[in-house]
Amino acid sequence: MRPEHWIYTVPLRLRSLFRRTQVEQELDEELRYHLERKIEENVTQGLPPEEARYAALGAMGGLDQRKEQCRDLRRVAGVEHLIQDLRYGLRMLAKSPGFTVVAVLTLALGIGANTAIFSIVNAVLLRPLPLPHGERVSSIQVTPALAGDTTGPASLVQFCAWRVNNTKFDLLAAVRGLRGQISGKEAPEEIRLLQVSPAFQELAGLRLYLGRGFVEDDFRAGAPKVCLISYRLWLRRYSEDRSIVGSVLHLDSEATVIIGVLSRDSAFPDAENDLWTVLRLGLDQQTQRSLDVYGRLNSGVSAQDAEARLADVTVRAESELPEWLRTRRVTVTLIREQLVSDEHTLLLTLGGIAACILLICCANMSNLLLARHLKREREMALRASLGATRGRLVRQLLTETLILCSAGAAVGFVAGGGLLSMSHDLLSDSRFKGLITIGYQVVDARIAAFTVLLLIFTTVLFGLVPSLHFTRADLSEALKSAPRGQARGRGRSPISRYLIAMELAIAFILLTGTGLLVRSFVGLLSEDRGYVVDHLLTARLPIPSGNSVTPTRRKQFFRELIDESERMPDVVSVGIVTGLPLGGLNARMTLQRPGQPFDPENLPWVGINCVNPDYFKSMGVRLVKGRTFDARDDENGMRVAVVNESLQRQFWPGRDAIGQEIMAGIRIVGIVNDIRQEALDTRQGPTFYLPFEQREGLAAAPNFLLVRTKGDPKAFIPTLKEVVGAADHHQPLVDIRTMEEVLSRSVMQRRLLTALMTGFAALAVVLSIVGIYGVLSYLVSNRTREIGIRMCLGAPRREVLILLARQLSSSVVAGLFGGLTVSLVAAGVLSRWLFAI
Amino acid sequence: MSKPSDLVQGTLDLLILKILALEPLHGWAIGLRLTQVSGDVLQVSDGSLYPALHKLEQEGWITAEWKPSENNRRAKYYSLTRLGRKELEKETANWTRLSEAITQVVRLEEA
Repeated sequence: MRPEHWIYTVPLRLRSLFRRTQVEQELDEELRYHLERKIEENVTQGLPPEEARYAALGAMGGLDQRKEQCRDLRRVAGVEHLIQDLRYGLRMLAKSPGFTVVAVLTLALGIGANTAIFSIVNAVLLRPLPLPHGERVSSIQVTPALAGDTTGPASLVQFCAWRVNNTKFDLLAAVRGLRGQISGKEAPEEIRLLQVSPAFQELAGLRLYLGRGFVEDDFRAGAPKVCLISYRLWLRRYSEDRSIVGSVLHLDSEATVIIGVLSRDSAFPDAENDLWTVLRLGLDQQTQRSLDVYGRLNSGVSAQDAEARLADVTVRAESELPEWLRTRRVTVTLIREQLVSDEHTLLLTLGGIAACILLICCANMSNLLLARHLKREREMALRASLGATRGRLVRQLLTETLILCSAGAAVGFVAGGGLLSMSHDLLSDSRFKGLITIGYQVVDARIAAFTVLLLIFTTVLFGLVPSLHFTRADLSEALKSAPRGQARGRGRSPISRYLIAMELAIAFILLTGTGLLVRSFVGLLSEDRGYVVDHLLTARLPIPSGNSVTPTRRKQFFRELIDESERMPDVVSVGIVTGLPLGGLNARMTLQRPGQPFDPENLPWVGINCVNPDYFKSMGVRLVKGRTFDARDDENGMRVAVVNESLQRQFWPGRDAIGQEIMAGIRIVGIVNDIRQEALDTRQGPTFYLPFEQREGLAAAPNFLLVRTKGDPKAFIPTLKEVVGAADHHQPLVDIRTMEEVLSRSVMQRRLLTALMTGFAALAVVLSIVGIYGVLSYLVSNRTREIGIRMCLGAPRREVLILLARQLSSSVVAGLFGGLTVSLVAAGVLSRWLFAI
Repeated sequence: MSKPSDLVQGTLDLLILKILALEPLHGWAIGLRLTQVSGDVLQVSDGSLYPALHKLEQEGWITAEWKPSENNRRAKYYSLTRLGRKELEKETANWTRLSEAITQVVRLEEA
């Protein structure tokens, strides 16, 4: 029925809309035909022609009314009015290009910023995770009873216990993230690899681009070693060679068959991984906590349920263990919740900024429109007196606003792209950052809907209110009065004043926030770090794979490397260290505090760094007391250590640490200052340094190389590569950065956020100034006559100025006070990013 | 029943459809035919006929065509569409049902 109906009606509607003149002509002709027949009839009945005509018209009941009735039946009146309004609106806007440009830009800013920020919120909070049933996937972590140890990975023993007694998860998978070295026909290379348990493939929804995935047989003991590689690795290392599937690569010197290439979007648990292989643990590794465990909850099971069940299982499985080796707590966290809590502060801050900007924009737009509407008061009054209803007038004004908003939204949407492109760096280092994608390639229906909603919201908010406000006014009054309204601001100015107060408050909040951020950022950068960052090149030297690496060979390699590098003309000194300051990879261990009873649950954690004698000099770490290492401290020398001030304070408060034993047989010979090791904003905990020559085994062996140069450290990179290659051509050299780069990377998120805030605050201030100027000039122009009279009567200029200034002073004060109050609250939200304030 | 406003709601539509079912006519002729056929009982005022016609046209029940009329002038002739024919059947059935029911009630003997 319906479609057939349309066959007749759609062409009619279109005709009514687009062939309007013709339709009108036909209507006219049809009625005239009728009229003429009626006149003829009347004439034949004996009436004089003139009278016959009047009688006919009378019988029609008014020709124009009938026409209007017929027009209304075309059911396109709404559209027709809209088109009229749009045309008229566009004409009016074109007449005042200045206003239009300011309005569109203001709106573009508001809507653009909001759309961009919403797309971040959308990515973190709303968009489905790129995992099958991602809303049920959770991460399972354990906290051991041993104090100081943090919540983290589980051991194989624990994982097996969970899997055997699993009732709450439909999939339970463990992965072990490692770095490995691949070699083969191509040059050796260090990559990140993931050893996975059987269920992982399904849980992570790994999709294959080429080849096959893991099958059950691959996980059997003694099965040939197989691996999957990432699309990225395939692209980079194998130049998209499709025949790579089935070929053999050497993973840590073990022949491994490549069975497939994963698709580009494999991002769980992170997007950096390059190789997937089967989880294999030696007997000695079974109790090591090295496994990241993920579980997909059965539908309807809550994380709490699962947590309780796993806790039960764990308690039973560990009943034989001594108390201090047991697990204190098992935590099941939904990935989504983890993401949200990681980005909590960012989302709140961004949301706050977005709301502020939008409010300012709306306030400004309201003011602009109010002033503009008032200029058109006479036009409106005229239209009203000619019979336009209030609804029709409001609609006309709203249509104009809608045009402005749409243009603003379009511009803003495009401009938002710039913000989006840098927004991924704004995300904190969440473990699951790879699951979040932001950018225009992922603009989805939700973002589009949000922009449209925002558009409607802004239109209504600052279009409807002034329009209603304005059309309510006594229009006949407007017609009577002089062309420019005189001193009629009284009735209307309150709205403008509230808007001004609001704008000022918001600008104040943003400025305060920015001030705090900038100050803390500057403070952070100017804080004494405890070392010197310029003229310093850093690189990481991961332990080469294969069985051939022994602690002795490793030491030999470092010796050769240091000697060789120091011989280079441009080099001041060369250092090696376990964990580079701000470079991640910090080694820690528990240490018994001297003179305290042995209490395994409360052993303090201290940092450990193995270094060469020149490390302190190269890094610029200052000696406080005693000596640092030198050539004496080799394998044959007395066992020595250097500690930082923090360790001295905690372990030997008020006493001299020099000469004390930090561990059996290891004496402290020097104290160095505390440095910013883990992050710029955290003080270094107790830490000690050992000469790498005296360290046995590979645990906490040096990873990083530091070269202090005379000239540009970057110029040394090619030489460094040669030197490392000469010392050991199997040695990978990665993360080559100047120390300045390392530092700047460590504050990337903070820097971006500060820049963002500064930009927005500056805009807010500019907008507020424009807003105040607008309102004030409107108020003044309303009182021009009054001011003139006052001045004629001898009022001094100063008094007139005071009079005018007083008009806005209450709004200004109220705005600043409100801003101050909210700022105090907002500072709380920001506190995570604030440093030393 | 001289004024169209007295016509039962929607009856005018039914009458127009019925008349057009016999042959395509223009507005003036429809008015004449209506008076004629009903033996001067039903008269439609000149004014209200056209909105009704336009409404039926917009519903898709009748369609219009410009043709020379009996006095050799261009006039807008309306004719029934397939949809209109269906609508007429439906409306006729409705009307019959309704009028029979009313007749029944009116004929009730007072006891």
